[in-house]
Amino acid sequence: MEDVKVIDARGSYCPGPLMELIKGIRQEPVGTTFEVWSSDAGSAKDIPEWVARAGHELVQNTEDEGIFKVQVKKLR
Amino acid sequence: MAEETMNLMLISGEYSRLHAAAMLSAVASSYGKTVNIFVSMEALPAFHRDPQISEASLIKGPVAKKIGETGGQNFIELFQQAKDFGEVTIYACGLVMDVYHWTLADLNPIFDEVMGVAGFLAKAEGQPTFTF
Repeated sequence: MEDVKVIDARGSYCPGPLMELIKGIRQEPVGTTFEVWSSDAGSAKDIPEWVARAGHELVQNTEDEGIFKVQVKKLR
Repeated sequence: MAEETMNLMLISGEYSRLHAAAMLSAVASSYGKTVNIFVSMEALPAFHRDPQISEASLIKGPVAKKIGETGGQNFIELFQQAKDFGEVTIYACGLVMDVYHWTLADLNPIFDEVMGVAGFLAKAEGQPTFTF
């Protein structure tokens, strides 16, 4: 199974989870998949917007008992 | 095609406006946009190194207070992050610097240089500019 880097941003409000994702994406090589954990519904909606604009891939966006898990693959 | 440069004029000492500008700057720079930020009028004292001066200059409404209570990043940290993500240049307004007799050493180190309004207009000409 592909290695997924978890970014645990639970408890942080928008744009905190997105900022954590951007920092992670800048540090890791192309092809890396991240999973952002967020308790903030706004981030679950905003992160996919950033992903589309920044040219990466939204792998999945799910909610599990109030925790949003947004999986993103770095493409460039 | 999207513009590659975004200009911001910060003139208010309202925390919410500064925080919004900082969020926009961080996301825009992460896309690769060049961001020029001109900090003037009541906004500039909010960036003073002395917390007594910066705190006294900030106007905080209910949302700003709530943001503070959540323990998230403040607007200075977000501007620093914007600079870390990309090409963000922050200018201190020469007028305000002169009336207070401040130098860049008096301000938070996120500032790059002191600039007059004519200099900023020359940079911003033909590009989208937002005022906060």
